[in-house]
Amino acid sequence: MPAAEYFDADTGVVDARIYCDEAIYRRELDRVFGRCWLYLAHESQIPSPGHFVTACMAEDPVVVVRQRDGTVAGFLNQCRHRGMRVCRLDYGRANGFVCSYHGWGYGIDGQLVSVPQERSAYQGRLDKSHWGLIRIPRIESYKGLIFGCWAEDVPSLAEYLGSFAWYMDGFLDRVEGGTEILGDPHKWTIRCNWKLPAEQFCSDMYHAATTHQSAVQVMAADNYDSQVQGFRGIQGVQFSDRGHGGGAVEASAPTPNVWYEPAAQRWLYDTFPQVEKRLGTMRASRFAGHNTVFPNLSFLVGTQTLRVWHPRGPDAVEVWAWLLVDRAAPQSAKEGFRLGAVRAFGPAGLLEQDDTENWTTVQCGLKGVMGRRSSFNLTMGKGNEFRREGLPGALNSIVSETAARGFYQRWADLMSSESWGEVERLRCERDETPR
Amino acid sequence: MSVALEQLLVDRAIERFLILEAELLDRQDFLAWLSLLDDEVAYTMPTEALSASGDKAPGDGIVHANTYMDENKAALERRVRRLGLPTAWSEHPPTRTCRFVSNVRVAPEGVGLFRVASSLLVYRSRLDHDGRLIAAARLDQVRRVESDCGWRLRRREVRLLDTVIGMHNLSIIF
Repeated sequence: MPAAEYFDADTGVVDARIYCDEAIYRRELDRVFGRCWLYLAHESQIPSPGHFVTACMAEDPVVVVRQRDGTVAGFLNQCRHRGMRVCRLDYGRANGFVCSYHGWGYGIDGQLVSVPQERSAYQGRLDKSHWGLIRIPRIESYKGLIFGCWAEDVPSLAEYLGSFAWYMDGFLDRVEGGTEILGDPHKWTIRCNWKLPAEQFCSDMYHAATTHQSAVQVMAADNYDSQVQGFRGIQGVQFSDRGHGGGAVEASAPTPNVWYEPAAQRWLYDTFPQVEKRLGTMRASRFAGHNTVFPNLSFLVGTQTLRVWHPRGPDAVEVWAWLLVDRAAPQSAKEGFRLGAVRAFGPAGLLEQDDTENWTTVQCGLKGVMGRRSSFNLTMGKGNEFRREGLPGALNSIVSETAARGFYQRWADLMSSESWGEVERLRCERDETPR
Repeated sequence: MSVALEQLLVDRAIERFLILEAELLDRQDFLAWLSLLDDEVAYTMPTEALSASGDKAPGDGIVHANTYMDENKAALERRVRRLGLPTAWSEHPPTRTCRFVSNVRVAPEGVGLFRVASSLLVYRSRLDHDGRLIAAARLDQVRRVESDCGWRLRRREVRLLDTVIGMHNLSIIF
C-alpha cells in the first residue's frame, strides 16, 4: 500500500478513508497493532505469582500473569482446543486457567497441563507440550508500564519509545517509589475510529478552548478567564518522536488545571521541589500535558488518567481508562486525584463528554460517499518545527499539529513497510533531513 | 390509621416522588430537579468489574472499585450550570429522554429516612443517531420534609450493570 496515498507529509493532508475503510482497518490490525508495542498492564496490578489481569491487544484478548519467578508472561486468551476464552474475569489470582468449554487446563506459565479423559479420548496421542496457550513473544516494562508485542523483530521497548521516555518520566517517575493503579478502570465504547482520540491526545491542545469551554467555565467558578483557564492564551511546547507525541505548558512553576481537587494539588505543589531536583523544572512543572505513546496509549499529566484506545472495527473504539498515582502520595491525595479525574474525565466527566460528542459526530459524517472522499487538514505550524538543547524530539508550539503529522507518518511507515528494519530506515532518513 | 395503610401511603408517596423526579429530568428542568436534592446528597455511579475470589469479593463476583460519577451537591450544581451554557456541546441540542421507573421497594432507615430501591429504564435519543435503551438499578435514600413535594433525595447509587458502558458518554442524569 503506498502510504503517501493516505497521508502526505509534504502537504499535511490526511485521507478520510483511514478512519472508516474496512480494508485499511484490517491492514492496520496486522501491520500496526500486530507489530507495535502495546500497553498491557501496570506492574502494581499483578504484584505476586498467580496475579493476573485480562487485557486486549487491539481485538485480541490476552491474559497477563505474574510468574513464579517474578517475571511477567502474557498469552492469547484462547483455548487451543476450540478457541474459548480460558479466563473470563477482569483480574484476580489463579493457580491456572481451566477452559469452561471442554475443561482443558493450563498452568500460569501457559502450558497445557490437564485434558479431561485424556487417555480414553486421545489414546495417549495428544502431545500436551505442543498445545500450550499462544505466548506473547515480547514483553518488556518501562517504569511500571508493561507492554507486549507480537512481532519478534520489533526494536527493544526502550528503542521504540526513543526520546519520548524522557517525557514519560514526568508522569511515571516524579518521586521515589514510582506509580500505582488506583481502583478499576473506566471502560466504555465510542463509535469512532481509534485514531481520532489517539491523535487528539498526541497533538491537539487547540481543541480545548472550544470543545471544553463550558466545562472549564463552570469549574473555574468565580475567576474564569478565557485566556488562562480557557486555554486561549496557552503557551507551551509540543513534541514528536517515532509517532509518539505530546504537549506541555512551559512554565517555571506548577500549572494545575481547574479540575484538580485541592488535596491532589497540594501533593503536586508539596512535591514540586523534590521533583524539580529529580527531573528539572520543565518536567516538574508539567502538571498539565497531553500525550500518546504510539499507537494507542494516552495519558494526561496532572489529571493522571492513563488509557488505551482499543480498536473495535473501523468505526468504534473501546476505552480503558485507569487512574495512575504516585505510590508515595497520601491516601487523601490519591482520592483527590480520583475525584478530579472522575468529575472531569471518563464518560460522565464534564470535559470528556464533549470530546466523545465530537468524535462520534465526525465518524457519522464518514458514512457518506463525499465524506469518505474528503481529506482533513493537518497543516498547523508546518515548517515551524525546531529543536532545542535539553528538550528531546521535534518541537513546535503547543498549538500546532507537528505531533499529529509525526503520528500519521509513523502509521504510514508501518502500513507500507514489510519489516521493522524498513520502518526504522525510513525514520532515520527523515530525521537526518528535517523538513 | 393502621400501620399497613400508613406504609402503603409512604410507599405510594415515595414512588410519586421518583416519578416527579423522572418527569423533571425528561423535561430538562434541571433547576427544579436540584431543588429535590438534600444539601448532603451523595450521588455515585460505581464501576463494575469481574474478579476472582480472594482479593476483594467473597467468591467470584462483581467488584465496584471506582466510580463513573461521585458527586456532592456542589458538583451536581456545577453539572447543571454547565447544561445551561450553549457551549455544553454534549447536551446542546439536548438529548431527548424518556424514563421509566419501576420495581420501587421502600424500607425505613431511621427517623424520617427511607431506603428506596428502584429499577430505571431510560430511552435516550441524541441528534440523529440511533436511540438507546439504558437500564439502571438504583439504590436511594430519601428524607421526609415538611415542604412542597415532601421528600428530598439524600443518597443515590446508580448501577449501570455493564462492565463496558455501551455508549459514548453519560451526559444525562440517572
